[in-house]
Amino acid sequence: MRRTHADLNHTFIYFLSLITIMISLSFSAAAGEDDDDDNLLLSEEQKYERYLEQEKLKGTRKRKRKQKNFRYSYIDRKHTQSETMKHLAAIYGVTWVVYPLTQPDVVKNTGSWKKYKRNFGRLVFDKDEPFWNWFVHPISGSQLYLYYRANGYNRINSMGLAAISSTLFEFTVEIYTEPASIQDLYQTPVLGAFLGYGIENLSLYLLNSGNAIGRTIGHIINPATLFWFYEGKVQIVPKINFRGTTGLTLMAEF
Amino acid sequence: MRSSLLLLVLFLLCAQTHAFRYNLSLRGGISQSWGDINGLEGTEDEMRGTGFNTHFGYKWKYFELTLSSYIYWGEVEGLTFKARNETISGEGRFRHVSFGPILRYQFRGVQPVKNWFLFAGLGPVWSLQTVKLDSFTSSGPLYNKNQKLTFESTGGSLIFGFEEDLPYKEMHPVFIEFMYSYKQSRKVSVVDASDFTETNILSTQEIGQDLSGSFYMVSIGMLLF
Repeated sequence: MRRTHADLNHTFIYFLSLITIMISLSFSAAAGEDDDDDNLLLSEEQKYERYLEQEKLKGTRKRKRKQKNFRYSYIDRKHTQSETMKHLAAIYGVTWVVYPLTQPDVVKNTGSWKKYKRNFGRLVFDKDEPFWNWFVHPISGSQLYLYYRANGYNRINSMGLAAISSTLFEFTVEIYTEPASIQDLYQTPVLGAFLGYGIENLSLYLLNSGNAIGRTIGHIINPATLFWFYEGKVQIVPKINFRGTTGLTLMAEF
Repeated sequence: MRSSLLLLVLFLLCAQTHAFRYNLSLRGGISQSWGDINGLEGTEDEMRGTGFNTHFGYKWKYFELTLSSYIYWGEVEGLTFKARNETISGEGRFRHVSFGPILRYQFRGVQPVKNWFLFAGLGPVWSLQTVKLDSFTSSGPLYNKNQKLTFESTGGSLIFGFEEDLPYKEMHPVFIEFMYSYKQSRKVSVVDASDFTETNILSTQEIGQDLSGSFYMVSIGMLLF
């Protein structure tokens, strides 16, 4: 059979098309392999960053996103010595400001640097009314305890740090008006930790209750949960795909 | 026979259990107190009070050292006190707060009830007792109903009790404790209580034994963390 010029042309075009398709297929396959290789080469942190980027992109696509449902809890972790010192210094600084602000009359009328010098190092049984010893000081202690809890300290350490903070206050701040008191030194951290433990559990229950009133009351009784340093605000997202990866993604705000 | 009995007792006292150890802990609970208080001129009163107790301490294998506090409220009547050379008699409210270290030993082998072990301890006590008299008679013009008397006392306490034997403190073991303490006042102060925001101490006197007494207390509570 004699092949015509048109037949040859047709065969040539047919082969050319076939080669083009094969080349393009091999390129796309190679690109796919590169992607997989990239994924394999990525560290867990990079994968997580990529995941967050994707989540962020998803967020921009939606005009109005539903508010995230956070889970409130406490995450205990280890702290460096310098970190702990910074917390103690921060609270110590705050006490110098809060004391004259909350008791301006006492500071103005009964306080003096002469008294400060005289009271320095003294330790007495105070004769204050129960309102101060069994209400104000334990409440202060509970908030100190909750501050340290919010910063990731465990319960015993939070109580210990609250004890250090209140001792510093008693021996170096409050002596401007009165000598350090045995009751305050013990009751502020210990009764404060008792009260703080109760507030901690109640506030977590309210914050995780899912209703606005509960959340509001939870934040009021445990204000440390509102600040940037609170480490227990987490979001748990179930993650299911069909590539054999199933689990929970825990996101915490630091 | 005697040596084997001694060995048995030693074994019971030192038997190994699995409770937590080498750890800090905080305990607390409620207390009911009874006391025979002695005032001046042979006056005495049987006092009853209700309050709470807290204990923060460190536990070794069998020993535990806690800093403990007992707080309770009650009422007194028929007692006579002396302050600013005035003799004051009457009835009113009584507040007590005490602090002190208590060294306890845990007899881990003595378990009268399954998983409840015996402990015993002792320690010194520093306390402040406040008496606010609602109706009274005074031999002088200085004392009035807006004032209160505070007594700084020292003494000692003996305790024994039973605690639940649990492997982890996170399981919140509970305890029951019986305490005997004796306290004797060293210093009496008259304090102006007309304004609760201010503490105005009117006088302070060193005294020998204006207020003393034996106190018995039952406390129940649990280990919090």
